[in-house]
Amino acid sequence: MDFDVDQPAAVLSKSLSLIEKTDLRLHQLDRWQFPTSSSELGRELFLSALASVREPAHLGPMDPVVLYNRLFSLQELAGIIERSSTDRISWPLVRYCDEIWSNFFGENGPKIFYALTPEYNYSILHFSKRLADILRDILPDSAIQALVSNRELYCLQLASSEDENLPLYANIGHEFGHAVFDHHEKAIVSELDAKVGQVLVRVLSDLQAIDATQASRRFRRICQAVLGIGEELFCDLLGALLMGPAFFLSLFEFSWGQARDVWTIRLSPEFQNIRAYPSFGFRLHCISQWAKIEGFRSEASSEAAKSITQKVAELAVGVGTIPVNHNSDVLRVWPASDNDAEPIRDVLNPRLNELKIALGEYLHECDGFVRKWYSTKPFSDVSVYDVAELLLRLERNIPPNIVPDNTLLGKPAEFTAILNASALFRLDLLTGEGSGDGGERLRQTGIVERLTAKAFEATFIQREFNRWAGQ
Amino acid sequence: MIPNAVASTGPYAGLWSHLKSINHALERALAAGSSKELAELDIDRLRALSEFLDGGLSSAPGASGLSTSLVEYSNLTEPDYNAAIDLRSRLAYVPEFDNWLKSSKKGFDTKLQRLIASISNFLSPSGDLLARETPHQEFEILRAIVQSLLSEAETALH
Repeated sequence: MDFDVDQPAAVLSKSLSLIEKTDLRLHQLDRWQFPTSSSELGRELFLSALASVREPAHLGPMDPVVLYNRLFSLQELAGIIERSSTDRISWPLVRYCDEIWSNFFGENGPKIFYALTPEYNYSILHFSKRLADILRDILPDSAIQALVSNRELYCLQLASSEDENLPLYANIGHEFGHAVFDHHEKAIVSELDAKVGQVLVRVLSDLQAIDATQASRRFRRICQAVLGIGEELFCDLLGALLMGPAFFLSLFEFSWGQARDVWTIRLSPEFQNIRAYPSFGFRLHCISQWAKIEGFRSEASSEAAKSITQKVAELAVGVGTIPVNHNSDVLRVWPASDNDAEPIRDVLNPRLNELKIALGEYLHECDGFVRKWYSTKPFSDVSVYDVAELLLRLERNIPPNIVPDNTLLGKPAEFTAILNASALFRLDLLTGEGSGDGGERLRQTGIVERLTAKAFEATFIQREFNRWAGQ
Repeated sequence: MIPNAVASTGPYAGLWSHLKSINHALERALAAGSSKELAELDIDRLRALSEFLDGGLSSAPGASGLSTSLVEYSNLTEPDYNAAIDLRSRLAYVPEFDNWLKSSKKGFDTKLQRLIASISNFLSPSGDLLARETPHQEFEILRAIVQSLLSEAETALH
């Protein structure tokens, strides 16, 4: 043993052991525990990647230390597949999600599987792309292409710490927006470019005035940040169109305890990992338009809606108090240790209002695009009357799955109507009388969660039955 | 706690493994002596180095390649580290490059272009049965550049 010579072989040996261990872990997963068959696609893709890495022809030119490092990133993907289990993922929910997904992408488009995340937030991961990115330093491009070609796969990660907060499911519409954005990236980015292009030209000029030697580089980082902001706002638009006021309420809940007037840019050494987000104030302002909050409020205050339940009008008044002001917005750039953070902040802050106007125009165009691309798909407005009927049931601890239609059975409630009724009712509980009594609140919100989950399941089964029975 | 940079999956891990794999390909090319011995992965990693250096040139002030169109920056298939690294000022701290730069009157851009050309010539088909010889001087300088950047990325991993 001579470690001057043997060290790479020892690292390779450790790496190969780790590959075997990961391979074994994934083989041991019970496929019947997967929420949908797409999880199996994720497992197969991952195992194929491991097999490709293990090929002697690929191992030869690989740096064992790079392989060892990349295996730790691969472990994170393996962990996602392991967390794809029916134990805590509701079956009706994923069926609804699959239905929305197939409306967007059809049978031959990218696939999606579902997993839990220990994070508070919901997120979507372009699984096959992430896998390809991790493999780039250890496999030749041709091998990576052979692996992921025609196997495009996403993973929707559901927040396990919020898995008893069903109204936050409204965020799923936003997450699906990322995949739609990827699918139509060229058209959407062209539109973004058309609207914000002039602002960017002025930003470049400002950067050159600060330091001409660094302007080009910093400008490219700003472009990536603007792309990120454009994508987030597009996803909000889709979330609002799909889920209506429930998405507005859900984003509002996410903003609790945080500054609502701060736009953030998080710089990263990797261009594609620069992250940027508009302020909650601006996002809520935009979503309130697309989710038609004003129309919902005014209809909920009508006599017809109040005749079903007064509750709907009371809740609509509450929704009207949600702040959508964004006049005091500022932009922050992180980390401060990055030498580009301060100049980027300094050139963008004075141009924030121009940028917001351009982004508003961009969203109007995106709304047109989305309706054109998915003209036959349902972006129907949430019916206030259906929501009122479901609130009436929730008030009496009855699952909100049926809307009366002058027949004995009534009609199965829409997924979005249930979601909206539940979101409104839950927020009312959290802010209503006795909200300081934790035990009582836990009991009451627990009842709402269970009634909502039951309603999702019952209405889904009833719809499936109606389809089967040819109604 | 004993930090283990190699096991890191943090924000600098991608940059580190990118540079480390390029460094490995350079070492293999130097050891092989000719392009004949290169594997597909080596060729891909050397191309990635060429793109990285090329990006450093396009970030120069007044560079003609700078686009103000967002479309140019979207949907990049390769990871891009150029925007975060000020290559021009970093290379001033790489003695091998700096000495080489000072050895002739040619400027920074010309010298960097020569390094980029050395990679593309080495990787281009030779047109005859003989493989191309490794350009040792240029590749040694390239290796010094990559190792300097790698050393910083490794520190950031901790």
